[in-house]
Amino acid sequence: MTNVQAIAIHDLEHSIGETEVLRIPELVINAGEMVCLQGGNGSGKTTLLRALMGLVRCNSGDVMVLGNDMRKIGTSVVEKLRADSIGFIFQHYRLVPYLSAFDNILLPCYFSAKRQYEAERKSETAAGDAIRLIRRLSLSDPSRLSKNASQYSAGQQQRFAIARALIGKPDMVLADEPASAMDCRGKKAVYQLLQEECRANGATLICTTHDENGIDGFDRYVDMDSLNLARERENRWSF
Amino acid sequence: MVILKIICRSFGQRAGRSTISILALALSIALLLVISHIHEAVRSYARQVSSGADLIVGAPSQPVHLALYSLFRIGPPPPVLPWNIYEEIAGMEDVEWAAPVSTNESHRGYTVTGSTAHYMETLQLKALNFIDTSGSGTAFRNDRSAFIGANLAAHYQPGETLTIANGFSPSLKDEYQTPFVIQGVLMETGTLLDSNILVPIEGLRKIRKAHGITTDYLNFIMIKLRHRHSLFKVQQELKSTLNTPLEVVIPAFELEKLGHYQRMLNNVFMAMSFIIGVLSLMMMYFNLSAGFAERKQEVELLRMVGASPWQLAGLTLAEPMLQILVALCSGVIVYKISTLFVGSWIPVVSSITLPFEQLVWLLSLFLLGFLVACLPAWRMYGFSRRT
Repeated sequence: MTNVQAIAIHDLEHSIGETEVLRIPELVINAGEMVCLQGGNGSGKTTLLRALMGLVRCNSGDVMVLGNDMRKIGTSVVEKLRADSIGFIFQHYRLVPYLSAFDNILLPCYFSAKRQYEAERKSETAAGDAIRLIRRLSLSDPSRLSKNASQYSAGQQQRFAIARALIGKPDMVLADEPASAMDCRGKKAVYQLLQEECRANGATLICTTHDENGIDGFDRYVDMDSLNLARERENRWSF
Repeated sequence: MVILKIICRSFGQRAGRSTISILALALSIALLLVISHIHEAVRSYARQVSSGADLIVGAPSQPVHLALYSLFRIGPPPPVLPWNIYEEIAGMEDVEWAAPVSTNESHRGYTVTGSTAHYMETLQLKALNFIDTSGSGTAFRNDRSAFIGANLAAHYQPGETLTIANGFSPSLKDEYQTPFVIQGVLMETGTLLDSNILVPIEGLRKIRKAHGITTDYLNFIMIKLRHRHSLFKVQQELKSTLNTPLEVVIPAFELEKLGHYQRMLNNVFMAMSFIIGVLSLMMMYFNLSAGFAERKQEVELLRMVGASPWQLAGLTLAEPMLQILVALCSGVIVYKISTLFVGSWIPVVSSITLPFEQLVWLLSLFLLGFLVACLPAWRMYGFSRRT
């Protein structure tokens, strides 16, 4: 593990209207580190990930992602950063319903030359890399990926979303409850794949989950209730 | 390439709703073109026919009525004129030729028109199917030749004979004894002339005499002048110097008066078709706006994987533009097929090509469509920038 910082957050504050949703004094995640953010519903996990993606512009504080100050960089740089360096897994997987599963997995390669190049370097072709990833996600017949994404089960769709985030060797993978639609065996396979791929590529992995048990293999587990002071204050107020 | 794939698949996803908008737009485009085409064809035919004769002379009646009856057989026949009027007119120095026309005989309910080759020439009547031995499709072979209109072609063949009678509800004693021989079948005109039998006026006069009718009568006379600048002079002369009171009309003037109403009617139809087009564009816009909410997540995802706001705006623009293009092409195809069909019934319709100015309607619909498509694309651009 290197000591280069992939993510550095200082005095981050974000509110939606009157409600303070994020207040994180400090969070540093090193490049190549694998971190699991644990917390219940409304603890700010998803908002934090969206802030790291540049989807949410926070009110104050510093957010550095892969050396970029997310509060200051322009839209086009954020676009390029996301396309080339970040793989994102949405909580509800979000596949383009009318594209085939295969096209959904390959989407990042269509928009980023870097990820296309990396996928081809790994498996000769980007399609080959997509099949390699899908095989690793215990899909029974990876050759049958031509159906529209919406025609697969929730668990299968989540697997495609994971493969989409991993393809083309991104520098960082952000996963918002990546195994929420899976059974115990599937969950284990997903976390294992994410960890193995990120470890092999030297990528930083940040996963969020509300599961307290059965998630092994991460370098660090961060409790959102203790990280996000806004949540703590909200809890205190509710008593 | 993936953008193209997204456009096509997304288009397919909304195919049901899109099809209705496309059909409505295609229909309005086809209507616009067909109406313009028919308007232009009728105008061009009227212009050609009216330019064949400089003046039309008839018994005193409404000038428009005289022009419409003599050129298109619209309305009842005008009152009769004595034959000597024709002789006096034909003898005038300024007159190049005069064609007397009589429509007082019939054959089994079909009007028999007695006239000359000049009349056929003026109305652009031509036989497609005729006996060519010592005859032609545009002139009578002899005094007993007859041309039949296209509507009679199913019942008669060239070479067959037909007898005619005086008046339209003749008794046996009104039947003329000498028959006419059918020389040919006239090309379809789309007017009532298609139900006419055309015979030479000289032959008709002889048969009338043989039947004991001593006074020749005419319904109108068409006149071609040697010089067009003597038009008003001759018109005035005919009205004032001859003993019989006459109506002398300049067909081009009378048709121009009607042209004003025709244009008005045409504009109303055009406006209606244009409104249908605008409504279908609005339908297209509402479809797009309704789909906008459900596409937000899709857009967020595409932004995540690197699609730029311009690409997404282009994607949103491309879909309605594709619909408009499909509608335009379908509309033009429907128009072409319609004119083929209409042209087979009314030949004058197929004889013209639509002037370029009429395509301004199409262009304005396309531009309007482009503006309508730009609105959701602009919203998409704004949304993508904020994502």
